[in-house]
Amino acid sequence: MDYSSSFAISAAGMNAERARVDVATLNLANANTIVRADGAGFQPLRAVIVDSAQSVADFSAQVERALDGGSDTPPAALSLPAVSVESTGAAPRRVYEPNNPYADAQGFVSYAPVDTATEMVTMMSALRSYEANVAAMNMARTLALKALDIGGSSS
Amino acid sequence: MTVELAALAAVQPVVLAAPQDAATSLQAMQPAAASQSFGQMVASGLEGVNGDLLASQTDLQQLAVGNVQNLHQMMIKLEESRLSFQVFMQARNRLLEAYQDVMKMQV
Amino acid sequence: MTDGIEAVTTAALGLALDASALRQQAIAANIANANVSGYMPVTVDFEQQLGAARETLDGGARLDAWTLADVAPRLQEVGVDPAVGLPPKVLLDMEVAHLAENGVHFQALTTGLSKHFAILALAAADGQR
Repeated sequence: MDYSSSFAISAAGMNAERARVDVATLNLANANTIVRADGAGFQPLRAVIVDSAQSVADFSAQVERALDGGSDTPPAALSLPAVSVESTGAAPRRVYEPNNPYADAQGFVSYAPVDTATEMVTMMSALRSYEANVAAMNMARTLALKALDIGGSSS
Repeated sequence: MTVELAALAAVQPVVLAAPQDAATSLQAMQPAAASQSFGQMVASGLEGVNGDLLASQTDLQQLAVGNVQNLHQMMIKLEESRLSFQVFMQARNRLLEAYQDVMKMQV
Repeated sequence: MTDGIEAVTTAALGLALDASALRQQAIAANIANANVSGYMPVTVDFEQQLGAARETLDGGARLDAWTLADVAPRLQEVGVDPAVGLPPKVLLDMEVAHLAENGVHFQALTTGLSKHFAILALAAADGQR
């Protein structure tokens, strides 16, 4: 495998993890927005990461080319993560606040259904995955530089 | 590179066996001479070294164009071709020295 | 010597080094202007000009001087994102990944070039050091 495909793979992973962090940050920022009576308000988002070999054409094409040209074993399909952001579609959470001007007939105020604990856990796990991807990329770079030292430094 | 080493190794048994048994050493030399003349050995060795060097040049051009399939394989082949070229040059220098020694002999 | 194979390889490696140095500047500019609103990211147009050269090499032949005659690395702007109508946002981690890859590529090119010159120096010095 050549080093350009190694970097492309790590970059795709970092992209996906950063999207997760962005979505979690957005949800946390809008955790206490009010959902108005007609249902208009913030709908929390979710980052869905699926493995897809056709999603990012040039990354996967690079990987395929590297695998087909490199070894004698049959090329394995290397899939890269692809992120899509969709709304969770959860029902608003209702809090009893009779004095709030936005309260409905029963005295409940509807807030956006953001689960703060879940978002914090998602953020921390995405951070660790991001660090792991960065470590993988640094290791790929070290391996490539060591390969250049084959034959000694004699010129 | 392997052809040079085979050529050098073919010469050695003759030198080592000479003090012991001249007849067997002559017999040992005959099959080597019958299979390939020295000129052919040198020519095939040169072809091998040249092929290695040309393959290394192609690899370097692939690197320049951006086709990095196997960086370590490329470095290994490059170093091998450089070493085989070096061995070939040393063999050529030895041969030249030997020729000059022979030409200096008083007739 | 101008048509010899050694000169073609040297020229090809030199061109690739030019492109790699230019790419380093483009990535550094993108990173520096990452938070500037309305900034148009730049890339280097080099690999796309090498279609003919790649075909020659894939066919098993070696490059000749004419294949690389018109190739020159150039800075070019990425272009407005058609979906949004604005320049695409600079993704910092993508730029840093490209930076790392470009660094490794530059080192590989210089190592290859120095080994190439070492072989030529060996021939020129008659096998003596």
